[in-house]
Amino acid sequence: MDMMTKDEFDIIDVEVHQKSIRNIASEMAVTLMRTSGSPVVTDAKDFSTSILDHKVEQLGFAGHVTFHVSTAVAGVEAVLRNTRIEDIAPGDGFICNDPHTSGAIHQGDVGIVMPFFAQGEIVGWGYVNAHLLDVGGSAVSGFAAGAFDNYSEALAFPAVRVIREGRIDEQWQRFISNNVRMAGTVINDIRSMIAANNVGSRRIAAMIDEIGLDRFRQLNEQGKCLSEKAMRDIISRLPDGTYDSSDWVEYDGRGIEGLHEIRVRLLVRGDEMTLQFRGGPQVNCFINGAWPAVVGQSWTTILAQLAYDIPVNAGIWRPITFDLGPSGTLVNSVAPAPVTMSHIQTGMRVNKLLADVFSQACSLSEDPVIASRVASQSAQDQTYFTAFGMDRRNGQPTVAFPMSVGMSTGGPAQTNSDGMEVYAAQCMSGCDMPDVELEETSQPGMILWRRVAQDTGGAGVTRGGLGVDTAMAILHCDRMNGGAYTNTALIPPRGSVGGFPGAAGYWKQWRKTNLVELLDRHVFADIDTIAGEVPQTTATVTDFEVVRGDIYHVIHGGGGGLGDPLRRDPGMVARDVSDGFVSADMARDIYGVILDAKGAANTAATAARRSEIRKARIGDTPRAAVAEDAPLFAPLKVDQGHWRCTACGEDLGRSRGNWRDNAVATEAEVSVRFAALHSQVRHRKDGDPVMMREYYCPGCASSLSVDIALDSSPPTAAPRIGEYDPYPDNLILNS
Amino acid sequence: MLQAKETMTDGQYAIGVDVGGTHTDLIMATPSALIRSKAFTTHGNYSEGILRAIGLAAEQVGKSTEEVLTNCRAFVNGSTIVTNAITELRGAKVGVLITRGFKDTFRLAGGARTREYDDQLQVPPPEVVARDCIVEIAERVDSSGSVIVAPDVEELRVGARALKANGVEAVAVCFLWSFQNPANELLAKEVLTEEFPEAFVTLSHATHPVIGEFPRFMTAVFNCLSHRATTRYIEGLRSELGRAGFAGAMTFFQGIGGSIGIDAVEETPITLMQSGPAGGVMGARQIAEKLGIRNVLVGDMGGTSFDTAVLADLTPTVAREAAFGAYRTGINILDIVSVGAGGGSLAWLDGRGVPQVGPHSAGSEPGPACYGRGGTRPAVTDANVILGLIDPDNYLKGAYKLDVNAARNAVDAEIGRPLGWSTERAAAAIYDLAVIEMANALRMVSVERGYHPRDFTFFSYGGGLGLFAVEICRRLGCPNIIVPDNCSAFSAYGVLTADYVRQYNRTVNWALDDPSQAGQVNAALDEMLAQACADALSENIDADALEIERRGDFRFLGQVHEVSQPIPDGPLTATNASELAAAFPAVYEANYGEGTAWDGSPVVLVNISVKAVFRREKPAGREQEPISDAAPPEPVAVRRIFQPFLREQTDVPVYAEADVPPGTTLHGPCIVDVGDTTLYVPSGATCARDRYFNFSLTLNG
Repeated sequence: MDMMTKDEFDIIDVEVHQKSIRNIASEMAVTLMRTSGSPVVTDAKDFSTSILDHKVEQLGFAGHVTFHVSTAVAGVEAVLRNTRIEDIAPGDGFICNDPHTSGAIHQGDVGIVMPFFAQGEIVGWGYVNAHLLDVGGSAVSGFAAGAFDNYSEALAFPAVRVIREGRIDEQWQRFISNNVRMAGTVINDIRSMIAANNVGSRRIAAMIDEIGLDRFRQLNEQGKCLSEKAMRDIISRLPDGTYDSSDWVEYDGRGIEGLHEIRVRLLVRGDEMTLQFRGGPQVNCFINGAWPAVVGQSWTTILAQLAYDIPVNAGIWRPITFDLGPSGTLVNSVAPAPVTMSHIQTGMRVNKLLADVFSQACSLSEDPVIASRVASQSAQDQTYFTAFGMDRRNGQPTVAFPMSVGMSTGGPAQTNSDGMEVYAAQCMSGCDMPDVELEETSQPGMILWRRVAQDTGGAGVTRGGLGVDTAMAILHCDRMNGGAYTNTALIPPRGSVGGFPGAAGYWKQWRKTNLVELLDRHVFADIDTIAGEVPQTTATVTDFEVVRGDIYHVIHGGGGGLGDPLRRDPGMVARDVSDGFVSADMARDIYGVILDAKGAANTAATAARRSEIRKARIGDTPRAAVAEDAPLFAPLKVDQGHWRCTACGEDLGRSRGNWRDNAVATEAEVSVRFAALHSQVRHRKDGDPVMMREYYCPGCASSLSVDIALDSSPPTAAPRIGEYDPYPDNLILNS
Repeated sequence: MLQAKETMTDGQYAIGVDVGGTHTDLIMATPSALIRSKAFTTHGNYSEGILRAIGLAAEQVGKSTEEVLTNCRAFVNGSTIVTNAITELRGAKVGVLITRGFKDTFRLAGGARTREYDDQLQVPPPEVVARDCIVEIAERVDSSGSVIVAPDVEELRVGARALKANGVEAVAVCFLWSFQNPANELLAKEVLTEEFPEAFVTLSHATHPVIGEFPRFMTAVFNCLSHRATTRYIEGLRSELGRAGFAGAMTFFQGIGGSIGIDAVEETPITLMQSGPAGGVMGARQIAEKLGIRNVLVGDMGGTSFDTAVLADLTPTVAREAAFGAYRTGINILDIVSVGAGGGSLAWLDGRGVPQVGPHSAGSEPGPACYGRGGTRPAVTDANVILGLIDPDNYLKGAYKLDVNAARNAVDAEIGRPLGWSTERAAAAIYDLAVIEMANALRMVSVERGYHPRDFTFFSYGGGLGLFAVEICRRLGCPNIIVPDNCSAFSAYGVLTADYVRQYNRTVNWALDDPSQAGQVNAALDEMLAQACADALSENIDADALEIERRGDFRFLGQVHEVSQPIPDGPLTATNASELAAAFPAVYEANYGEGTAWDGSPVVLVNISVKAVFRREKPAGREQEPISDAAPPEPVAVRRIFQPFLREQTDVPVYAEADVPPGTTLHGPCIVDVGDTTLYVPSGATCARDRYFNFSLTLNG
């Protein structure tokens, strides 16, 4: 539609309206949070609320979980596909939790859609989504690690009406209560979602009473235009071109260490961009992505990295095209593909892919704000377990889903700061880590420690956020069964613009421990007093079993680093060492910082050590020095048709080619290289090895890029500025 | 530290101060009037500014500072010192003894992710305790309150010595589950007393005996952090006021509303968090009660922020577990929402080309462009000057001369030219946006909590709000406004008229379907009551004179957040329990909608609180029988202003406050010059003065 005439008071009215809508969405969120009983909602903030108009376009969004930007639209569309609009009455509510039919991210994230009525007609929709503690099926909360198809995963509702006149249908309630673990909590969370929609419905009706339906619609359209314009403005500041990235989705739940490649191609032209995703054929385990997860997670990274201050509404969708390629692939799966880890497995790879391509584009932008948005990949490490058992204290069924364990991962390094700890996943804005005392109330065990894990943050000028090392002992159940999950055991998060990767997360199960005995003897249980067996397992365990006294111990991964670690301020490295965040070994071997007896950086020794590392990087004494004013977060630029190192001006070949061909490259199996660098990643025993490829400037030995790829993969592609080269529509990668 | 008990004197004066970031406001009650004065706050030695303000007030009654102070029976402090210490994380050097395995609790900060999508805001929180001042102790209590491992006394000794060696001034003892069983924290305290007797010690279970270690630990740490500033403030003030002859009672206003004595403050300085703004809320409550108004919205506009709160049926809402930045605490304070819309808030264009106001502020240096101190970016005050709402030659009684051209240049450059607007239209847009920000904040405390502003009266105070109050209320549909007498020093008024208030909280977790726990809960209530009486007695307040309010936080079993309800007097019985449980679903559904109660889930009484209030005698303000049919006063000037709502230039009369006696009614558009503040009465509004010299503004139609 046309922009309205540029009358200033309209702009301000639109802004007021936009804020009011956003406030209503937030109020829905607060209602959900206050009424919910699930720590998944109240602490992890694993939910979202949306308001849509009668055209099923977004008006406002109060994500905590940002990927629901996509599911809100898809959920309401599914309702309208299945039910004639004339048959929908006030107080009706529809449940959507199936990625294949009702636009959900995964079956555990349940959307409740309710119509907003005013003046006798449907003027909009409320969409509230919360991760429920359980949705039936073969595993707790839907994480069906062993399922071969979506039918064996969990209950999946294709946008069906289960709420009438604001109450859950009694028959359905009986059905659902008979099919989920912890039925009380699940039913109550659905009630909380109704309460949230009620609030939205009342507020929107009051707003329309006040300003009239026509004005309401006019302001909505104008708000979308403003957001669209802002989104276009941001895209236009990215250099036109074609940018590529690859990542690999992991699954070893059946003993084979599968790595499944997915790719993104970012095409920027003027004020529009296209995101093309491609993958191999869909697989028979729960890692497949589908439209809601791939597009939803794309929004997560777009909002976090580029569009962080634009009001979320349908306008931001307009200049962006999502192209998921042929159906039946890992990024665009269809039934019967199992999808209960859609958002975490393929979905969180999407976050890493986009962080990479956006950072490539940002680092080449001349716009200072856009250039400052370069960021590394976050850990995106979801290592946790869920299990079901009987509480020995009261004989009642109980579920283990310790949220603090899953979310304690390192965040991405930023140009303005080191990454944060307990970043969780990029999509989880505003999440809190439950207190130990709350975990020990709701979980059947005891948290033994919760420590920052040294050396997990990727090295760089700014360091990746650190993972957390924590352990939970099972005490209140004799036996529990479920699944244990890791999505980034083999492929660590990459740094950006020459920064190093962060550590990968891993977990172990201590069995046959002395824990109960220690507690009985009043001996403090810590890593030095606990004894037990730690069997080797796969990263994903489909038949996870814990017994009383077992300990689930996880050391989470950190975020990647940003920029060449040899240019990190030695004082900050020294501080990291004294804080215990970085070991003196890592300070010496990656940062080139030598500490004196008091723990301060020794200037002369550090300079010497850094020269030594530069020499080792390229196998020779560098012939050029690093310019003092060289940018920290943009190692490469295109100048007169050539790639150049910004630190020394070295020519790295024609800009239509890959600068990597002219850099000094070193390559090693990633777990071997990580061990030398005091970091940690799982060694892939079978199949194509995972490699770490380091690229250094032949002139000054600056770190230009540290890539992670399979041994058989060609070198990572360089950006192609000014080129517009889309993937073929029918491209399917090899499995 | 032991304090000599304050002796009560029968002096004729009582003084309340609000020591803010820029100004120290003072209200002095004399037997016949309230006197107000204002001085600059003197950071470093607050007594200096306070004494200056006292001097200015004394002058107005023709006395010396000494004469006033010798005859002063009560001195009540509202102060920003603790707010500053906590928001700036500057205070005593804090050390921590913490359960082994959990020294990173403060770094992890319970998860510091904010709701913003911007990843550059997702960064580690600022350090609140130096990492080399955190000592782990091998001790553990489990969730049932059993001591699994008692701390080794030798390990405690080594830890205490290490903290001492590191130059720590205050020690927070932070052990898991200590609120269930404080034995381990108490043992640590014993050792600290022996090894490090000069340290100020806070036990986490003592300041906030409630489940959830992060807010409990943070409360203890912040209590330690606030200790030094508070102690210095108290010592400085006692000696300097004492030297000038003061022998009355010195009390301190808390963020929860209500004042406490020196001993209590020295033990828990954290209770002074947000002391000043809470003063204003309680002041509004006093005036409203006198006027027979039950539902009140308050607004206080300062230089950098606008603070607002709601009092439904004269009861302020309380923010539980208030958070400061990434740090959640267990502190209960009055629920005051603050947004960055003050006189110094800057206007700017966002990425979409839409004008915005705040949260960045020009501060006092360089200040708004019109201050002529080098500011080039437009602030809200600049817009007011351009619109003609502020007289540039007579700002703050002529204390400053404002530069209109500088204001116009700043507004043109930032807003006017980029959007192709005239200076006045751009200034009107800034004014509007400030109004919107404030109205949105008011909506947050009213509409979002289920109150409709039309049922409320808006109390407007603070230097700049008189220019905005009517337009804010127009947006909210709130027709009645009170601008109280002394509105420019109103928080000090609230501080002065404060009651004695102390609140005690305890986690009990009583599932109401199990009557067997009643005894335990009653025992806890009894303990809390006994504590309340003992604390009151230590401030010479008789237990019989206390008003006791008992409340409970209820939720359905399995929920995380609670709904607060009064609980009946006397020992709780099984009958009480079943009545409370039966009544709860209706209360809950009133909040969240029909059909949302958790049918079939037991109701749990999670926390109990006891609030002890001693109503102090309130000083009378000025009062005058309204003149009936008062003739309209003569304006002192006519000024051309641009009315933002109407978007038109109008010549309006300007009245001097002194010419507007009780009983007068003025019709907008007009301006009332109150000396240290200005009222703008737009077209369509009327302004009457009541018998207590409050201005009562009404929006017609």
